[in-house]
Amino acid sequence: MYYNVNHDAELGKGNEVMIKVQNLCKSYKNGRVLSDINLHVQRGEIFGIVGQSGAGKSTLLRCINGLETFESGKAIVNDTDISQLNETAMRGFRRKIGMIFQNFALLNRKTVVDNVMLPMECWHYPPVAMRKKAEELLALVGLTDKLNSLPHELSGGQKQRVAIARALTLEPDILLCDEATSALDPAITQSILELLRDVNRQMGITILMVTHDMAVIKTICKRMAIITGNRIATTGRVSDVFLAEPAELRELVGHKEIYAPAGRSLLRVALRESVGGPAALYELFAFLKGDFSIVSADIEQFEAESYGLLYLHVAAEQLEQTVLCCKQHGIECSAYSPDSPVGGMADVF
Amino acid sequence: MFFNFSNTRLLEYLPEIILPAIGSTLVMLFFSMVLGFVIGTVVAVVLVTTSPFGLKPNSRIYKTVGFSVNMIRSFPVIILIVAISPLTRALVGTSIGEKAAIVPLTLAAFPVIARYMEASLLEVDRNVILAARSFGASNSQIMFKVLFSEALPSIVSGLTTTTILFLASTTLAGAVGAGGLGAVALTFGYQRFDDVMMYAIVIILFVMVLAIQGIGELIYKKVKE
Repeated sequence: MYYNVNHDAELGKGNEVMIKVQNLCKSYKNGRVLSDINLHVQRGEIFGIVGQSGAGKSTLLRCINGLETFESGKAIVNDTDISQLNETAMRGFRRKIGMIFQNFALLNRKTVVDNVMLPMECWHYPPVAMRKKAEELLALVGLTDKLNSLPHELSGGQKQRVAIARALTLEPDILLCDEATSALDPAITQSILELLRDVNRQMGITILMVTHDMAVIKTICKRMAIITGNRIATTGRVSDVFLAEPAELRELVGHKEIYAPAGRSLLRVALRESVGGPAALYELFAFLKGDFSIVSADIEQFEAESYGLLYLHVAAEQLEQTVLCCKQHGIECSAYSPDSPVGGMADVF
Repeated sequence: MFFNFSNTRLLEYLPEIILPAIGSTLVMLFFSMVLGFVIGTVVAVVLVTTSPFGLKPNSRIYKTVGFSVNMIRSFPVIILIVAISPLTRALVGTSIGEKAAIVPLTLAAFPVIARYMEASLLEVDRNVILAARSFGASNSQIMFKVLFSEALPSIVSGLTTTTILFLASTTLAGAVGAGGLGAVALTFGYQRFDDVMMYAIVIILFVMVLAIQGIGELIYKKVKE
Protein backbone atom coordinates (compact mmCIF):
# COMPACT_ATOMS: atom_id res chain seq x y z
CA MET A 1 0.00 0.00 0.00
CA TYR A 2 1.60 3.24 -1.07
CA TYR A 3 0.17 6.36 0.34
CA ASN A 4 1.27 9.85 -0.48
CA VAL A 5 -0.55 13.02 0.34
CA ASN A 6 0.59 14.92 -2.70
CA HIS A 7 3.21 16.74 -0.74
CA ASP A 8 4.65 18.58 -3.70
CA ALA A 9 1.36 20.42 -4.06
CA GLU A 10 1.56 21.35 -0.42
CA LEU A 11 4.90 23.00 -1.04
CA GLY A 12 3.07 25.82 -2.69
CA LYS A 13 4.35 29.28 -3.42
CA GLY A 14 6.01 31.11 -0.55
CA ASN A 15 7.20 27.88 0.97
CA GLU A 16 10.90 27.81 0.47
CA VAL A 17 12.46 24.38 0.48
CA MET A 18 15.18 24.15 3.12
CA ILE A 19 16.23 20.55 2.66
CA LYS A 20 15.73 18.76 -0.62
CA VAL A 21 16.87 15.18 -0.94
CA GLN A 22 16.58 13.59 -4.35
CA ASN A 23 16.98 9.90 -5.19
CA LEU A 24 19.59 9.50 -2.50
CA CYS A 25 21.15 6.03 -2.21
CA LYS A 26 23.74 4.79 0.24
CA SER A 27 25.29 1.42 0.99
CA TYR A 28 27.69 0.11 3.56
CA LYS A 29 29.88 -2.91 2.99
CA ASN A 30 27.13 -5.20 4.23
CA GLY A 31 24.34 -3.80 2.10
CA ARG A 32 21.96 -0.97 1.29
CA VAL A 33 21.06 1.46 4.05
CA LEU A 34 19.17 4.04 2.03
CA SER A 35 17.43 3.48 -1.29
CA ASP A 36 16.06 6.20 -3.48
CA ILE A 37 15.22 8.68 -0.74
CA ASN A 38 13.19 11.75 -1.73
CA LEU A 39 12.43 14.36 0.87
CA HIS A 40 11.42 18.01 0.99
CA VAL A 41 11.58 19.98 4.19
CA GLN A 42 10.27 23.52 4.14
CA ARG A 43 12.02 26.46 5.73
CA GLY A 44 10.79 26.94 9.27
CA GLU A 45 8.85 23.72 9.68
CA ILE A 46 9.31 20.81 12.07
CA PHE A 47 9.55 17.66 10.04
CA GLY A 48 9.63 14.18 11.54
CA ILE A 49 11.09 10.99 10.17
CA VAL A 50 9.90 7.90 11.93
CA GLY A 51 11.02 4.32 11.47
CA GLN A 52 12.23 1.26 13.28
CA SER A 53 15.80 0.95 14.48
CA GLY A 54 18.10 0.07 11.64
CA ALA A 55 15.78 1.53 9.01
CA GLY A 56 18.43 4.08 8.06
CA LYS A 57 16.95 7.19 9.70
CA SER A 58 20.11 8.27 11.49
CA THR A 59 22.20 7.64 8.40
CA LEU A 60 19.86 9.84 6.37
CA LEU A 61 20.21 12.60 8.96
CA ARG A 62 24.00 12.34 8.77
CA CYS A 63 23.92 12.49 4.99
CA ILE A 64 22.11 15.81 5.29
CA ASN A 65 24.91 17.50 7.23
CA GLY A 66 27.68 15.68 5.43
CA LEU A 67 28.80 13.46 8.30
CA GLU A 68 28.17 10.56 5.93
CA THR A 69 28.73 10.42 2.22
CA PHE A 70 26.35 8.81 -0.25
CA GLU A 71 26.83 7.16 -3.63
CA SER A 72 24.12 8.65 -5.75
CA GLY A 73 21.37 11.20 -5.64
CA LYS A 74 21.43 14.74 -4.38
CA ALA A 75 21.05 16.55 -1.11
CA ILE A 76 20.49 20.28 -1.42
CA VAL A 77 20.44 21.93 1.96
CA ASN A 78 19.88 25.65 2.32
CA ASP A 79 20.59 26.07 -1.41
CA THR A 80 23.89 24.22 -1.12
CA ASP A 81 24.49 21.01 -3.01
CA ILE A 82 26.49 19.22 -0.38
CA SER A 83 28.21 16.77 -2.72
CA GLN A 84 30.00 19.77 -4.26
CA LEU A 85 31.65 20.86 -1.01
CA ASN A 86 35.33 20.35 -0.25
CA GLU A 87 36.50 19.79 3.30
CA THR A 88 36.86 23.43 4.31
CA ALA A 89 33.57 24.42 2.71
CA MET A 90 31.93 21.46 4.43
CA ARG A 91 33.07 22.72 7.84
CA GLY A 92 31.58 26.12 7.11
CA PHE A 93 28.40 24.49 5.89
CA ARG A 94 28.03 22.38 9.04
CA ARG A 95 28.39 25.50 11.12
CA LYS A 96 24.87 26.43 10.04
CA ILE A 97 23.38 23.06 11.01
CA GLY A 98 23.05 22.15 14.67
CA MET A 99 22.69 18.56 15.77
CA ILE A 100 21.60 16.84 18.97
CA PHE A 101 21.85 13.18 19.87
CA GLN A 102 20.14 10.48 21.90
CA ASN A 103 22.98 10.25 24.41
CA PHE A 104 23.55 14.04 24.50
CA ALA A 105 27.23 13.80 23.44
CA LEU A 106 28.50 16.30 26.01
CA LEU A 107 32.14 16.48 27.05
CA ASN A 108 32.21 14.92 30.49
CA ARG A 109 35.18 16.85 31.76
CA LYS A 110 33.95 20.28 30.76
CA THR A 111 31.44 22.36 32.69
CA VAL A 112 28.05 23.16 31.20
CA VAL A 113 29.13 26.62 30.08
CA ASP A 114 32.41 25.31 28.60
CA ASN A 115 30.48 22.67 26.69
CA VAL A 116 28.22 25.34 25.24
CA MET A 117 31.20 27.54 24.35
CA LEU A 118 33.09 24.76 22.54
CA PRO A 119 31.60 25.33 19.06
CA MET A 120 32.31 29.06 19.33
CA GLU A 121 35.84 28.29 20.51
CA CYS A 122 36.37 26.21 17.39
CA TRP A 123 35.24 29.15 15.29
CA HIS A 124 37.46 31.58 17.22
CA TYR A 125 34.82 33.83 18.72
CA PRO A 126 36.17 36.50 21.09
CA PRO A 127 36.06 35.14 24.68
CA VAL A 128 33.73 37.79 26.07
CA ALA A 129 31.16 37.38 23.28
CA MET A 130 31.43 33.62 23.67
CA ARG A 131 30.67 33.70 27.37
CA LYS A 132 27.78 36.14 26.87
CA LYS A 133 26.20 34.02 24.12
CA ALA A 134 26.59 30.84 26.17
CA GLU A 135 24.92 32.43 29.19
CA GLU A 136 22.07 33.76 27.05
CA LEU A 137 21.40 30.36 25.53
CA LEU A 138 21.62 28.59 28.87
CA ALA A 139 19.07 31.07 30.17
CA LEU A 140 16.87 30.23 27.19
CA VAL A 141 16.97 26.52 27.99
CA GLY A 142 16.44 27.25 31.68
CA LEU A 143 19.80 26.26 33.11
CA THR A 144 21.12 29.58 34.41
CA ASP A 145 21.87 28.00 37.78
CA LYS A 146 23.91 25.15 36.28
CA LEU A 147 26.60 27.09 34.42
CA ASN A 148 29.49 25.55 36.31
CA SER A 149 28.05 22.08 36.85
CA LEU A 150 29.60 19.06 35.21
CA PRO A 151 27.41 16.91 32.94
CA HIS A 152 27.37 13.99 35.41
CA GLU A 153 25.67 16.25 37.93
CA LEU A 154 22.73 16.83 35.58
CA SER A 155 19.63 14.80 34.79
CA GLY A 156 19.05 13.44 31.28
CA GLY A 157 16.65 16.24 30.42
CA GLN A 158 19.08 18.88 31.63
CA LYS A 159 21.88 17.30 29.61
CA GLN A 160 19.75 17.46 26.48
CA ARG A 161 19.03 21.12 27.24
CA VAL A 162 22.75 21.78 27.39
CA ALA A 163 23.15 19.96 24.09
CA ILE A 164 20.39 22.09 22.56
CA ALA A 165 22.07 25.27 23.82
CA ARG A 166 25.35 24.05 22.34
CA ALA A 167 23.68 23.29 19.02
CA LEU A 168 22.26 26.83 18.89
CA THR A 169 25.48 28.73 19.60
CA LEU A 170 26.48 29.15 15.98
CA GLU A 171 23.00 30.40 15.06
CA PRO A 172 22.11 27.52 12.79
CA ASP A 173 19.36 27.54 10.18
CA ILE A 174 18.60 23.89 10.74
CA LEU A 175 18.54 21.70 13.82
CA LEU A 176 18.86 17.95 13.31
CA CYS A 177 17.58 15.79 16.17
CA ASP A 178 18.77 12.19 16.19
CA GLU A 179 16.48 10.31 18.60
CA ALA A 180 16.85 13.33 20.86
CA THR A 181 14.19 12.26 23.34
CA SER A 182 14.55 8.50 23.13
CA ALA A 183 16.60 8.24 26.32
CA LEU A 184 14.22 10.42 28.34
CA ASP A 185 11.11 9.58 30.29
CA PRO A 186 7.73 10.81 28.96
CA ALA A 187 7.33 13.95 31.09
CA ILE A 188 10.89 15.10 30.32
CA THR A 189 10.33 14.26 26.66
CA GLN A 190 7.35 16.62 26.62
CA SER A 191 9.37 19.47 28.13
CA ILE A 192 12.22 18.96 25.64
CA LEU A 193 9.71 18.91 22.77
CA GLU A 194 8.19 22.15 24.05
CA LEU A 195 11.65 23.68 24.14
CA LEU A 196 12.27 22.56 20.56
CA ARG A 197 8.96 24.05 19.50
CA ASP A 198 9.90 27.37 21.14
CA VAL A 199 13.26 27.29 19.38
CA ASN A 200 11.48 26.65 16.10
CA ARG A 201 9.03 29.50 16.60
CA GLN A 202 11.25 32.13 18.17
CA MET A 203 14.33 31.64 16.03
CA GLY A 204 12.70 30.31 12.89
CA ILE A 205 14.99 27.31 12.90
CA THR A 206 13.94 24.44 10.68
CA ILE A 207 13.90 21.22 12.67
CA LEU A 208 14.30 17.76 11.22
CA MET A 209 13.81 15.02 13.77
CA VAL A 210 14.37 11.35 13.53
CA THR A 211 12.73 9.04 16.03
CA HIS A 212 11.15 5.63 16.44
CA ASP A 213 8.44 7.14 18.62
CA MET A 214 5.27 8.15 16.76
CA ALA A 215 4.07 10.06 19.84
CA VAL A 216 6.96 12.50 19.48
CA ILE A 217 6.08 13.12 15.85
CA LYS A 218 2.42 13.67 16.69
CA THR A 219 3.36 16.19 19.38
CA ILE A 220 5.44 18.64 17.39
CA CYS A 221 5.69 17.77 13.71
CA LYS A 222 3.49 19.15 11.02
CA ARG A 223 4.67 16.80 8.33
CA MET A 224 6.33 13.44 8.50
CA ALA A 225 7.85 10.58 6.58
CA ILE A 226 7.95 6.91 7.47
CA ILE A 227 11.08 4.97 6.58
CA THR A 228 10.80 1.21 6.27
CA GLY A 229 13.23 -1.14 4.64
CA ASN A 230 15.66 1.68 3.81
CA ARG A 231 13.18 3.64 1.76
CA ILE A 232 10.58 6.28 2.42
CA ALA A 233 7.22 4.57 2.38
CA THR A 234 4.96 7.49 3.23
CA THR A 235 5.21 11.26 3.35
CA GLY A 236 2.55 13.74 4.30
CA ARG A 237 0.90 15.80 6.97
CA VAL A 238 1.02 14.01 10.29
CA SER A 239 -2.76 14.14 10.72
CA ASP A 240 -3.32 12.70 7.22
CA VAL A 241 -0.89 9.87 7.81
CA PHE A 242 -2.36 9.16 11.21
CA LEU A 243 -5.93 9.08 9.92
CA ALA A 244 -5.07 7.04 6.83
CA GLU A 245 -3.14 4.50 8.91
CA PRO A 246 -0.99 3.12 6.09
CA ALA A 247 0.43 -0.36 6.58
CA GLU A 248 3.87 1.06 7.42
CA LEU A 249 2.40 3.02 10.29
CA ARG A 250 0.56 -0.01 11.67
CA GLU A 251 3.75 -1.97 11.44
CA LEU A 252 5.55 0.73 13.36
CA VAL A 253 3.14 1.30 16.22
CA GLY A 254 2.18 -2.34 16.52
CA HIS A 255 -0.73 -4.25 15.15
CA LYS A 256 -4.01 -3.75 16.91
CA GLU A 257 -6.50 -6.36 15.76
CA ILE A 258 -10.10 -5.45 16.29
CA TYR A 259 -12.93 -7.89 15.58
CA ALA A 260 -16.64 -7.39 15.46
CA PRO A 261 -18.81 -9.90 17.33
CA ALA A 262 -21.67 -11.75 15.57
CA GLY A 263 -24.41 -9.42 14.42
CA ARG A 264 -22.22 -6.36 14.80
CA SER A 265 -20.10 -4.54 12.26
CA LEU A 266 -16.94 -2.62 12.74
CA LEU A 267 -16.90 1.00 11.63
CA ARG A 268 -13.73 3.03 11.36
CA VAL A 269 -14.34 6.77 11.64
CA ALA A 270 -11.72 9.38 10.87
CA LEU A 271 -12.52 12.77 12.37
CA ARG A 272 -11.14 16.19 11.67
CA GLU A 273 -12.12 19.29 13.50
CA SER A 274 -11.97 21.21 10.24
CA VAL A 275 -14.38 18.85 8.49
CA GLY A 276 -17.57 18.59 10.48
CA GLY A 277 -15.85 18.33 13.81
CA PRO A 278 -17.74 17.64 17.05
CA ALA A 279 -21.08 18.62 15.51
CA ALA A 280 -20.77 15.91 12.86
CA LEU A 281 -19.84 13.35 15.48
CA TYR A 282 -22.90 14.36 17.50
CA GLU A 283 -25.08 13.81 14.43
CA LEU A 284 -23.60 10.36 13.97
CA PHE A 285 -24.17 9.40 17.60
CA ALA A 286 -27.71 10.78 17.45
CA PHE A 287 -28.36 8.68 14.37
CA LEU A 288 -27.13 5.54 16.11
CA LYS A 289 -29.46 6.29 19.07
CA GLY A 290 -27.09 4.78 21.57
CA ASP A 291 -26.88 1.45 19.79
CA PHE A 292 -23.12 1.44 19.40
CA SER A 293 -20.01 0.86 21.40
CA ILE A 294 -16.63 2.53 21.11
CA VAL A 295 -13.93 -0.07 20.69
CA SER A 296 -11.03 2.30 20.44
CA ALA A 297 -10.51 6.03 20.18
CA ASP A 298 -7.34 8.00 19.50
CA ILE A 299 -7.77 11.74 19.61
CA GLU A 300 -4.76 13.91 18.82
CA GLN A 301 -4.25 17.61 18.77
CA PHE A 302 -1.81 19.63 16.77
CA GLU A 303 -1.71 23.42 16.72
CA ALA A 304 -5.21 23.71 18.15
CA GLU A 305 -6.71 21.38 15.57
CA SER A 306 -7.79 18.02 16.81
CA TYR A 307 -8.21 14.90 14.78
CA GLY A 308 -8.97 11.39 15.76
CA LEU A 309 -9.66 7.86 14.85
CA LEU A 310 -12.65 6.01 16.27
CA TYR A 311 -13.54 2.34 15.98
CA LEU A 312 -17.20 1.62 16.64
CA HIS A 313 -19.28 -1.52 16.82
CA VAL A 314 -22.67 -0.93 15.22
CA ALA A 315 -25.55 -3.26 14.46
CA ALA A 316 -24.79 -5.13 11.23
CA GLU A 317 -28.17 -4.34 9.66
CA GLN A 318 -27.68 -0.64 10.39
CA LEU A 319 -24.24 -0.48 8.81
CA GLU A 320 -25.22 0.74 5.39
CA GLN A 321 -27.39 3.54 6.80
CA THR A 322 -24.63 4.55 9.21
CA VAL A 323 -22.10 4.87 6.43
CA LEU A 324 -24.54 7.05 4.50
CA CYS A 325 -25.06 9.23 7.56
CA CYS A 326 -21.31 9.68 7.90
CA LYS A 327 -21.03 10.70 4.29
CA GLN A 328 -23.81 13.23 4.72
CA HIS A 329 -21.97 14.94 7.52
CA GLY A 330 -18.59 14.80 5.86
CA ILE A 331 -17.09 12.17 8.13
CA GLU A 332 -14.60 9.81 6.55
CA CYS A 333 -15.43 6.24 7.40
CA SER A 334 -14.92 2.70 6.31
CA ALA A 335 -16.67 -0.42 7.46
CA TYR A 336 -15.53 -3.97 7.89
CA SER A 337 -17.53 -7.16 7.67
CA PRO A 338 -18.13 -9.12 10.89
CA ASP A 339 -15.42 -11.45 12.17
CA SER A 340 -12.66 -9.94 10.10
CA PRO A 341 -9.95 -7.98 11.82
CA VAL A 342 -8.78 -4.56 10.81
CA GLY A 343 -5.71 -4.69 8.70
CA GLY A 344 -5.29 -6.54 5.47
CA MET A 345 -8.96 -7.54 4.89
CA ALA A 346 -11.39 -6.40 2.26
CA ASP A 347 -13.45 -3.38 3.01
CA VAL A 348 -17.18 -3.94 2.68
CA PHE A 349 -17.86 -0.56 1.12
CA MET B 1 70.92 -16.72 58.88
CA PHE B 2 69.03 -15.21 55.97
CA PHE B 3 70.73 -11.81 56.18
CA ASN B 4 74.42 -11.32 56.51
CA PHE B 5 74.83 -8.25 58.73
CA SER B 6 78.45 -8.92 59.57
CA ASN B 7 80.24 -6.78 57.05
CA THR B 8 77.77 -4.37 55.51
CA ARG B 9 79.14 -1.10 54.23
CA LEU B 10 75.71 0.48 53.81
CA LEU B 11 76.35 3.47 56.05
CA GLU B 12 79.76 4.06 54.55
CA TYR B 13 78.37 4.04 51.00
CA LEU B 14 75.18 5.88 51.71
CA PRO B 15 76.36 9.46 51.03
CA GLU B 16 78.88 8.84 48.25
CA ILE B 17 77.35 5.91 46.35
CA ILE B 18 73.66 5.47 47.10
CA LEU B 19 72.48 9.10 47.15
CA PRO B 20 74.10 9.95 43.78
CA ALA B 21 72.65 6.69 42.43
CA ILE B 22 69.15 7.80 43.45
CA GLY B 23 69.86 11.04 41.58
CA SER B 24 70.97 9.33 38.39
CA THR B 25 68.04 6.91 38.48
CA LEU B 26 65.67 9.86 38.75
CA VAL B 27 67.46 11.68 35.93
CA MET B 28 67.24 8.62 33.65
CA LEU B 29 63.61 8.05 34.50
CA PHE B 30 62.58 11.68 34.18
CA PHE B 31 64.20 12.38 30.84
CA SER B 32 63.25 9.09 29.25
CA MET B 33 59.65 9.60 30.36
CA VAL B 34 59.48 13.20 29.14
CA LEU B 35 61.05 12.37 25.77
CA GLY B 36 59.03 9.16 25.52
CA PHE B 37 55.89 11.15 26.25
CA VAL B 38 56.63 13.71 23.55
CA ILE B 39 57.43 11.12 20.87
CA GLY B 40 54.69 8.79 22.12
CA THR B 41 52.10 11.58 21.86
CA VAL B 42 53.05 12.25 18.25
CA VAL B 43 52.84 8.54 17.43
CA ALA B 44 49.50 8.17 19.25
CA VAL B 45 48.08 11.13 17.31
CA VAL B 46 49.21 9.53 14.05
CA LEU B 47 47.74 6.16 15.04
CA VAL B 48 44.41 7.58 16.18
CA THR B 49 44.09 9.86 13.16
CA THR B 50 44.89 7.21 10.57
CA SER B 51 43.12 4.25 12.20
CA PRO B 52 40.24 2.69 10.25
CA PHE B 53 37.81 4.47 12.63
CA GLY B 54 39.94 7.59 12.82
CA LEU B 55 39.46 11.17 11.75
CA LYS B 56 41.34 10.62 8.50
CA PRO B 57 41.70 6.88 7.89
CA ASN B 58 44.86 5.87 6.05
CA SER B 59 45.57 2.20 6.36
CA ARG B 60 49.08 2.39 4.87
CA ILE B 61 50.35 4.88 7.45
CA TYR B 62 48.43 3.17 10.23
CA LYS B 63 49.87 -0.25 9.45
CA THR B 64 53.44 1.02 8.97
CA VAL B 65 53.49 2.99 12.22
CA GLY B 66 51.68 0.21 14.08
CA PHE B 67 54.16 -2.37 12.83
CA SER B 68 57.19 -0.27 13.80
CA VAL B 69 55.80 0.35 17.26
CA ASN B 70 55.13 -3.33 17.80
CA MET B 71 58.60 -4.25 16.57
CA ILE B 72 60.33 -1.91 19.03
CA ARG B 73 58.07 -3.12 21.83
CA SER B 74 59.11 -6.70 21.19
CA PHE B 75 62.75 -5.93 22.24
CA PRO B 76 63.56 -6.59 25.90
CA VAL B 77 64.97 -3.34 27.29
CA ILE B 78 68.33 -4.87 28.16
CA ILE B 79 68.81 -6.13 24.61
CA LEU B 80 67.68 -2.81 23.16
CA ILE B 81 70.34 -0.99 25.18
CA VAL B 82 73.08 -3.21 23.81
CA ALA B 83 71.68 -3.40 20.30
CA ILE B 84 71.44 0.34 19.72
CA SER B 85 74.71 1.29 21.41
CA PRO B 86 76.19 2.59 18.12
CA LEU B 87 73.19 4.90 17.75
CA THR B 88 73.53 5.98 21.37
CA ARG B 89 77.21 6.78 20.86
CA ALA B 90 76.37 8.79 17.76
CA LEU B 91 73.71 10.76 19.61
CA VAL B 92 75.30 11.47 23.02
CA GLY B 93 78.93 10.57 22.41
CA THR B 94 79.07 7.63 24.81
CA SER B 95 77.26 4.38 25.46
CA ILE B 96 77.98 4.29 29.19
CA GLY B 97 76.36 6.23 31.99
CA GLU B 98 72.94 7.64 32.73
CA LYS B 99 72.97 10.09 29.84
CA ALA B 100 73.54 7.21 27.43
CA ALA B 101 70.83 5.12 29.05
CA ILE B 102 68.23 7.81 28.33
CA VAL B 103 68.41 7.05 24.59
CA PRO B 104 67.44 3.35 24.70
CA LEU B 105 65.01 3.95 27.57
CA THR B 106 63.23 6.63 25.54
CA LEU B 107 63.19 4.33 22.55
CA ALA B 108 61.65 1.59 24.66
CA ALA B 109 59.21 3.93 26.39
CA PHE B 110 57.60 5.82 23.52
CA PRO B 111 55.87 2.82 21.91
CA VAL B 112 54.42 1.82 25.28
CA ILE B 113 53.22 5.36 25.95
CA ALA B 114 51.87 5.64 22.41
CA ARG B 115 49.83 2.44 22.74
CA TYR B 116 48.44 3.38 26.15
CA MET B 117 47.53 6.81 24.83
CA GLU B 118 45.98 5.38 21.67
CA ALA B 119 43.78 3.13 23.81
CA SER B 120 42.74 6.09 25.99
CA LEU B 121 41.89 8.25 22.99
CA LEU B 122 39.89 5.50 21.31
CA GLU B 123 37.80 5.13 24.46
CA VAL B 124 36.24 8.57 24.01
CA ASP B 125 32.54 8.36 23.11
CA ARG B 126 32.13 8.31 19.32
CA ASN B 127 29.09 10.55 19.57
CA VAL B 128 31.13 13.34 21.12
CA ILE B 129 33.37 13.25 18.04
CA LEU B 130 30.29 13.22 15.83
CA ALA B 131 28.88 16.22 17.72
CA ALA B 132 32.16 18.11 17.29
CA ARG B 133 32.17 17.36 13.57
CA SER B 134 28.55 18.45 13.37
CA PHE B 135 29.39 21.98 14.50
CA GLY B 136 32.28 22.20 12.09
CA ALA B 137 35.30 21.46 14.30
CA SER B 138 38.45 20.68 12.33
CA ASN B 139 40.30 17.41 12.82
CA SER B 140 43.02 19.04 14.90
CA GLN B 141 40.40 20.75 17.07
CA ILE B 142 38.67 17.42 17.59
CA MET B 143 42.00 15.81 18.46
CA PHE B 144 43.13 18.38 21.01
CA LYS B 145 39.99 20.10 22.25
CA VAL B 146 37.85 16.99 22.42
CA LEU B 147 39.81 13.73 22.41
CA PHE B 148 42.79 14.73 24.58
CA SER B 149 40.59 16.77 26.87
CA GLU B 150 38.17 13.88 27.43
CA ALA B 151 40.86 11.19 27.65
CA LEU B 152 43.15 13.08 30.04
CA PRO B 153 42.40 11.07 33.22
CA SER B 154 42.90 7.82 31.37
CA ILE B 155 46.15 9.13 29.83
CA VAL B 156 47.40 10.12 33.29
CA SER B 157 46.81 6.66 34.71
CA GLY B 158 48.52 5.10 31.67
CA LEU B 159 51.53 7.34 32.24
CA THR B 160 51.68 6.39 35.92
CA THR B 161 51.80 2.71 35.03
CA THR B 162 54.43 3.34 32.34
CA THR B 163 56.62 5.37 34.70
CA ILE B 164 56.63 2.59 37.28
CA LEU B 165 57.37 0.06 34.55
CA PHE B 166 60.36 2.12 33.42
CA LEU B 167 61.69 2.62 36.93
CA ALA B 168 62.29 -1.12 36.78
CA SER B 169 63.86 -0.73 33.34
CA THR B 170 66.38 1.85 34.62
CA THR B 171 67.64 -0.73 37.11
CA LEU B 172 68.01 -3.24 34.29
CA ALA B 173 69.99 -0.65 32.40
CA GLY B 174 72.29 -0.57 35.42
CA ALA B 175 73.44 -4.06 34.51
CA VAL B 176 74.91 -2.85 31.24
CA GLY B 177 76.72 0.26 32.35
CA ALA B 178 74.01 2.81 32.99
CA GLY B 179 74.69 3.42 36.65
CA GLY B 180 71.92 4.33 39.07
CA LEU B 181 70.30 2.24 41.79
CA GLY B 182 70.26 -0.95 39.73
CA ALA B 183 74.03 -0.85 39.21
CA VAL B 184 74.63 -0.17 42.91
CA ALA B 185 72.41 -3.04 43.99
CA LEU B 186 74.25 -5.38 41.63
CA THR B 187 77.88 -4.37 42.11
CA PHE B 188 77.92 -3.23 45.73
CA GLY B 189 75.19 -5.53 46.98
CA TYR B 190 74.83 -8.74 45.03
CA GLN B 191 78.38 -9.20 43.79
CA ARG B 192 79.98 -8.29 47.14
CA PHE B 193 77.53 -10.47 49.12
CA ASP B 194 76.34 -7.34 50.96
CA ASP B 195 72.70 -8.33 51.41
CA VAL B 196 71.84 -5.34 53.53
CA MET B 197 73.03 -3.02 50.82
CA MET B 198 70.99 -4.86 48.20
CA TYR B 199 67.77 -4.92 50.21
CA ALA B 200 68.21 -1.31 51.24
CA ILE B 201 68.10 -0.43 47.56
CA VAL B 202 65.09 -2.63 47.01
CA ILE B 203 63.35 -0.68 49.76
CA ILE B 204 64.39 2.63 48.18
CA LEU B 205 62.91 1.47 44.86
CA PHE B 206 59.75 0.36 46.63
CA VAL B 207 59.37 3.81 48.18
CA MET B 208 59.90 5.39 44.75
CA VAL B 209 57.16 3.20 43.26
CA LEU B 210 54.79 4.25 46.04
CA ALA B 211 55.65 7.90 45.44
CA ILE B 212 55.08 7.68 41.68
CA GLN B 213 51.78 5.86 42.19
CA GLY B 214 50.72 8.41 44.80
CA ILE B 215 51.57 11.39 42.59
CA GLY B 216 49.86 9.71 39.63
CA GLU B 217 46.67 9.14 41.61
CA LEU B 218 46.75 12.69 42.91
CA ILE B 219 46.96 14.10 39.37
CA TYR B 220 44.30 11.63 38.20
CA LYS B 221 41.90 12.85 40.86
CA LYS B 222 42.67 16.47 39.99
CA VAL B 223 41.94 16.01 36.29
CA LYS B 224 38.99 13.68 36.83
CA GLU B 225 37.12 16.45 38.66
